[in-house]
Amino acid sequence: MTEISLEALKQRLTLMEDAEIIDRETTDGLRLTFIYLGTLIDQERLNESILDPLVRSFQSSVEKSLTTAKISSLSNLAQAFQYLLKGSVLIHDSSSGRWNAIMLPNSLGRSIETSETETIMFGPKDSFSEQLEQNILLIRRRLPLTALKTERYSVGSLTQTTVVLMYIDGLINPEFVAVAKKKLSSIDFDMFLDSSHVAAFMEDHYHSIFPQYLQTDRPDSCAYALGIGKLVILVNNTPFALIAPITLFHLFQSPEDYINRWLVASFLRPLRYLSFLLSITIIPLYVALTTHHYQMLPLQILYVIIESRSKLPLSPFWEALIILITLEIIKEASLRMPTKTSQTLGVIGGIVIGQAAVEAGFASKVLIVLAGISAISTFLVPNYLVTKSSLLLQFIFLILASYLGVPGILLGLVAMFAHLNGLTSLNQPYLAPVSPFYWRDWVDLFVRGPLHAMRNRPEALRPLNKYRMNRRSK
Amino acid sequence: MQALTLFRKTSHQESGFYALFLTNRLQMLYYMIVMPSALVQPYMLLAIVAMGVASQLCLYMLSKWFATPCSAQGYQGYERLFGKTGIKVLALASLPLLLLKISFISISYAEIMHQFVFPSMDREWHIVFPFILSCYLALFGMENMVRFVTVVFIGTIWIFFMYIPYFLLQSNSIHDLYPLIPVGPEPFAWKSLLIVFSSFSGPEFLIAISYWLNPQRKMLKYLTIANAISIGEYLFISIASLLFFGSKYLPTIKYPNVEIGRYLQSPIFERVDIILISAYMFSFLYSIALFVLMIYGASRLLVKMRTSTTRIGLIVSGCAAMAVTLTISKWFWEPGLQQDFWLDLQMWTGSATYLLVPLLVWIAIKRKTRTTS
Repeated sequence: MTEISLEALKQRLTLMEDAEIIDRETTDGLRLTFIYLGTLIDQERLNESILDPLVRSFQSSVEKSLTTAKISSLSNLAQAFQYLLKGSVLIHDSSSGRWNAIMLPNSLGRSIETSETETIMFGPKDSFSEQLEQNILLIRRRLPLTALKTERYSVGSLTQTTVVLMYIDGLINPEFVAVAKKKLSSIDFDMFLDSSHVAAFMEDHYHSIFPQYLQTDRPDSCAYALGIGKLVILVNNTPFALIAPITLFHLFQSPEDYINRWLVASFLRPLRYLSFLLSITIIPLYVALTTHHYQMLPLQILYVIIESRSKLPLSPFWEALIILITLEIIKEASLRMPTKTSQTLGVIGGIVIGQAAVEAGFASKVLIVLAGISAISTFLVPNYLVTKSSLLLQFIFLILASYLGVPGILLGLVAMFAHLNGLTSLNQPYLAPVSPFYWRDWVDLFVRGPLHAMRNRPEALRPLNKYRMNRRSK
Repeated sequence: MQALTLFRKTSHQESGFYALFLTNRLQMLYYMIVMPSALVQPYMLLAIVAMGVASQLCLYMLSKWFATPCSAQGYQGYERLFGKTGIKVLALASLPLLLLKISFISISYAEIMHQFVFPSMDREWHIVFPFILSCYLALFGMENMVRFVTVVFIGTIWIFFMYIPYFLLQSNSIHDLYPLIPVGPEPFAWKSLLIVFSSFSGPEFLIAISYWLNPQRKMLKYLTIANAISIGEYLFISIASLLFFGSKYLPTIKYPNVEIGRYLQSPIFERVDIILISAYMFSFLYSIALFVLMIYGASRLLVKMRTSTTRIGLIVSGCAAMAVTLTISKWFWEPGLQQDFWLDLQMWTGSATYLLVPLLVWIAIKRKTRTTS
């Protein structure tokens, strides 16, 4: 281990404009050197809590002068740099030759704001920010338990990103924690700038288009997940936490489900599944029917479609493909543009281009209506990543429908379910509780049963404590 | 990357539900294709009940296998019961039976697809596409396949409810279901009985996958429920066909329950049957995938393969099954006489396996118990 020396530190800090090295002498004659990175530390606290009390101190050492500060003793150069880069002030006492570090991280960051990706009408409005400690606090406030464990890991050779694994000890199945720890420990990559990067390295099937970790910026969702026996992974500098293990059905659940009346929530949840299916099949179905199965349509609808398509030069497949690609271009463009411009783009794209495409003879009115329904349907799914996955699925189904008609769509659906059945999240089946079959968990699957009926934690998660209610009160 | 282990077992979830769903779906596989044309008289409905009872006896014998510790031990279990040579003989005998079953259900389904959904496409393409998907399904391994039956059950059971409207038709008369007992001297309809019994066959193949079913003592309960559901479905659709077509017109129709689907209408789709026939594919694909995995497993037993399972091995098994199916479809499956030959062959083999396999296992268990005690 390299010993700490002022020269070595200075050498490494050359060309670092924000590096500060200052010398002070205390009233008692103690000669101290302070080294820190000005951008990383709270300068005000440094002056008020460290420099002033030390300079005026009559004590013979730093530890005795700063009784309220948490002082860490440093033993080697690597450790000194580690502290320095995490927002510490290094203090060198020249008389004793000792090196100490005091953490004074700059608390610069966003305040707690409302979630933008998972907005709900009622319920908690706070969301995570980029500050890890604040995010832990938001969860701890909801789960004031000593059993709520937080384990820190550092990933990324360049970014040194702190990752925190959270779980409720004695409740979660230890197998999940062991798998997550193993995966986190074995990560070997240089940069982790977002929680999705961590997820990418922890996923069991990284070729799949379906997310195997739920990303959320809502502390209440994380607290709920922890409470039913899942684990949460927080990543520094990102407002999105990862929840695992998840199933496909978790991606269709919204925090609002548990706020709404259970009957209302039970109506809305199947609507989401239906809208997801609609979003991936409605346009392929149009192509299948107009290409192969005209006989399936009632005469009145057939008239409308024939009239609508009578002047079109393109086949239904190409017509649908052009409209879908245009729609995606508009959607992507509106995401990248400033908010006010994107609204204009939406109007121009949605109405003007749509109308013009019909009048120019590039698309039928029926297809424009279906494309609209399909686009809106995707937004009913609470998870943004699933929305994006559905886009790719739609194109695959479109090709199948154009060649094999309705059976092609069914072939695609079977393949999709087979793929989902083979997926795992943290080594746990992705289609549970349907496959494997846990019939008791169905109370919160396609419908959201009343909370009173959810006496047990999901069986598929195999929690150590199965019951959510005191069994004597049953 | 994890090694491909098609026949590994990781989960220990004890659920008779898989056995229930598997039994029911394997039993309902034939009905759409073969059986309704065989039950043209109302009194033949009793044949469903009678054969259902006979099927229950076979399932009872089957449940004895599930109750033995051998069933949960995989290969060692079979070895203890039949000996090494016995297993090889059984594996060898199962291969042609599995190939015949795969070929029969694939071609029959492809023919329906060809006739009702895609007349412009060659029948052979309706065999090739599902086979490719079945191989993809099978690649997920036996454990996933067994679990997947829940999705298959949910994905196809709703079709049964689509036939409810036929019971609510104005023109229906209860007299269409009479006589339930033949009034005059009717020729003994042994062939019809055999077809019905053959339609109930399929669960005997569960013996090969009992290791993944985590057998338990209550298995008879689940098998009985499955059998009861199958009897209910058979009766339900047969009665619907009888009420709709009448016993005089019914014998003239080749696929009665597919034909009556053509009369189903909704405000959006006039030919709902195209969706129904396509949705039935779920069951067929699943069964083919399951049987392909069994073929691969049986082949490995025969050639004493000690290396781990491979994708190539499974795909070769799938291709072999497809080649046999395509050969039969192209050169040996013609309308009329030869088609009847295949139907008869399947009827005999289906009935034989359903009766003999559980019986053989039951006798073997009895013998084993006697020798050990």
